[in-house]
Amino acid sequence: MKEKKSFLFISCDEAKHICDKSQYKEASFWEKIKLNLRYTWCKITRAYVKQNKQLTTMVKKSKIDCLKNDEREALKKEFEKELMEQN
Amino acid sequence: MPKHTIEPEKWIDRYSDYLFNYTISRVNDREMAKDLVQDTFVASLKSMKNFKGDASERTWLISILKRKIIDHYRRINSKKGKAEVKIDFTTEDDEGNWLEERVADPFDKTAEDSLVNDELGEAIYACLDKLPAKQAAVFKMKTIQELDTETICNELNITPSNLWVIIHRARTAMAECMEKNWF
Repeated sequence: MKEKKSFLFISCDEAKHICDKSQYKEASFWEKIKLNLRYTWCKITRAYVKQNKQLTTMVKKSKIDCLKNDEREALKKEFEKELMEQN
Repeated sequence: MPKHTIEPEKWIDRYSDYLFNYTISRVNDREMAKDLVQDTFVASLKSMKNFKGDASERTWLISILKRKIIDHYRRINSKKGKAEVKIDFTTEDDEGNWLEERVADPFDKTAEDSLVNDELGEAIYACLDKLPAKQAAVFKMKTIQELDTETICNELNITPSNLWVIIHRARTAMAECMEKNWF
């Protein structure tokens, strides 16, 4: 039987999902309220929020960069030519 | 028997992002960084016979990339030398001033900061290496490239709920991996 979704109270998994979305500024205002409410009494949610926020901070602080998919593909194409020549 | 094997056909997927991140933090020019990474892969391919297998493939590639970066700076420095010669002192008496200009600024923390950022970047890439390929790809697109959900879903042909499940697994694994040394 499908569980009825509560208006205000959310499960731990739902809270984690909202927290994930929130790291990318994709959680709605209402979702944030529900997350905050659960945050006040759920130890697991609190621990997850803390850990998740730290990960976001670390990635931002590192100023890490990577290739865009098309740049990687272009690199791959060029390198494959070299590989063919080598073989 | 060598402890590490060499598989050039997997280099781009495995190491291109790591090498690119290493390079861009040092040359600060996206196009130049891409060229240097490409030169590194080509040079490595040509000197594959020198790979003894004592170090990992990644360490070996980085050692070649480091030389490429040094060569790049040598090249631009030698060009600079030809273009402009700046002499700040003319007599022996002025030599003190000239040296003083070059004393490190104690309030300049850029070098120290970039060292920490480098280490942090290395740690993040080391943890990303441990993720399944799809999780790593989605995490990079969402967190590093900051692409929006729709773009990633279209590119990888997945639904938004798939994406959030992958992101959740990736973030949990990344946080656990980083927790020991960085949180």
